[in-house]
Amino acid sequence: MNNEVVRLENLRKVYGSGETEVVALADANMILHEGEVSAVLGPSGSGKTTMLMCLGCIVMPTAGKIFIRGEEIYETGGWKKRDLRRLRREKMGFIFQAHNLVPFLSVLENVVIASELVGTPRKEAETKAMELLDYLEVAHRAGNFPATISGGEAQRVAIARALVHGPSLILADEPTAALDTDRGKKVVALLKNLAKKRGVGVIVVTHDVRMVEGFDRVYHMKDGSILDE
Amino acid sequence: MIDLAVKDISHSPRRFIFTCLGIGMLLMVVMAMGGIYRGFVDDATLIVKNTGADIWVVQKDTNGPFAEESRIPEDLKHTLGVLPGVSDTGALSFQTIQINWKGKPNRLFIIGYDPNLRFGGPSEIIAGRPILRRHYDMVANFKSGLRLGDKLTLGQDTYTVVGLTGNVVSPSGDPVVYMTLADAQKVQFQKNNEAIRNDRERLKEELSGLLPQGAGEGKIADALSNDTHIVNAVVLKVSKGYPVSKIAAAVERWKHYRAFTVPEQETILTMGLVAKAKMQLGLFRIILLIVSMAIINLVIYTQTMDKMREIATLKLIGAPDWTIVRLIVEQSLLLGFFAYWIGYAIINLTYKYFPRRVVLVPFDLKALFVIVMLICVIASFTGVRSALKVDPAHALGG
Repeated sequence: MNNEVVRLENLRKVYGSGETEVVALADANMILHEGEVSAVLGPSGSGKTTMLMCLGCIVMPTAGKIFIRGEEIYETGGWKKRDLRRLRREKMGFIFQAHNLVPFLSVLENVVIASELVGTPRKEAETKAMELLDYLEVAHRAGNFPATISGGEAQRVAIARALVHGPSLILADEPTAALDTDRGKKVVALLKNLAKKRGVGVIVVTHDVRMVEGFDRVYHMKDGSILDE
Repeated sequence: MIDLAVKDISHSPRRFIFTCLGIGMLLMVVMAMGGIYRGFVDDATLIVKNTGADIWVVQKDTNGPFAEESRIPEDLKHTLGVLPGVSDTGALSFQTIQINWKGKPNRLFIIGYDPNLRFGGPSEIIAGRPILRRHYDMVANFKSGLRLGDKLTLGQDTYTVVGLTGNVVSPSGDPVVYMTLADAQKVQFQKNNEAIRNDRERLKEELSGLLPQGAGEGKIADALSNDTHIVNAVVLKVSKGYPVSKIAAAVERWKHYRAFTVPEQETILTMGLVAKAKMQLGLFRIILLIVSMAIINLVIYTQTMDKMREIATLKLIGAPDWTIVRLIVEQSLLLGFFAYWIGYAIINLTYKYFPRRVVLVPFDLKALFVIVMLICVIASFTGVRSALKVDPAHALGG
């Protein structure tokens, strides 16, 4: 059985044209399997975020192919904005550098909303959310607002939000950048555990070399190209 | 689905509450202006309705007695009383006066009527008694500033307030006082002694050139200079089964006076006296609603801009456009909803203390509610547009 979550084939993204043309992503190739946590490492401007945005269906690549669970995105050209959004909603989870929790929702509601967006009834969504928060040891903060919890706790809540609806792929943008080394390593370890336990593929975009040893695979990027693995 | 609009408002309600209060005050003024206009219309037609007449007969070629001056002889009531279909007649006088009462100027509208007739006088007595004597009794609007037993000197005589009636006002909003027709005529038409003497001498001089010697020009001059048997309108009651408009037409054709039916008189009052006020108040209402819309628009837009990162995050995690649109439009509608009820509560608590009558008509208030809700939807467009344009990529990065 094919356990491939993501496959990138010669993915290319070019901004502008003529003299202003910038190649943000040059023929990138990558494979991600279930339960695998891969890091994409590189300095600012190396094309990490562009790759993440192409994978997250936020930016349309100029050329190349993206397969998610074997389905080619943009294949027929008939993909509409709402189709891409549905794909993100159902098959992807996102973790951000600044956790991006909605400040006017409680910790529990922040997790519940991601589940409700895919049509899970409130009660069931709350149960799932509480289970995850409990696993991530932030259940005691369920009624708190994001502003009243620590950065580490907020990042764990963000992980819960990314996972609660059972996605195939988690895209994490610098999830450890705002954390100290110890907490950062804990977050990476947690992602690894969850990926294995739930059969999710995780791509972490980072320039934080402190965390390198924690990942299953590390891709190095420079000037839009993946240099090595 | 979690109600994002309500959650956002309840998380930081201060700005929402203060905005609601501000818009509520504006809407209160909008409601008050509508009420004042309705009050104008009510006031303008109140006496016409209160009098209970079917036809108003006034001086030819005038729109009297309220919109224009009208002077007709009192005894016309007898002439008109014998017309077929006329069941009752009455002569009325109307006059606005300004007195100095307890150190303050006080405008009053005097209605002179015949207490022996069934119409033209106060429709209710809420304190004291009705006018029973031929002279020196007065019934006043309870809001006129006059109290039972107060004595008022008008012209050469002193009148006593013997009764109080409801809030009857003139078309201009001045409180009404009722007197007997004879007293009202004296107040309106009787000249002071010096003027009578001067007029009498002048008339005698003029008549002596026209009449033969010893024809009684002194007596004629005396009668003419002292005549107060003039009224401003004669009102007619029409018997059941007789067409009012035909009797009015007959009066105009054969008696050479102007005769108005009640709807015609009301049209003169509302179209003439209130039309400009209506336009003025209507314009102010529109301006205030536009100001309200601009404020709601600005508040919703600012709130939306403050939430751009959250909106981008919601879009990134796959929230459909409808979720975002609902967040913004619902907040705008909630703002308008609470502001409307704040305005409604304030106007209901205060309208009795307005110097002019404020009449709150349920239809007007319901229509305003619908307009406010529409305004809120329109006002949220800028915020919705910005929110829909925000790129989900905005959620990425530090």
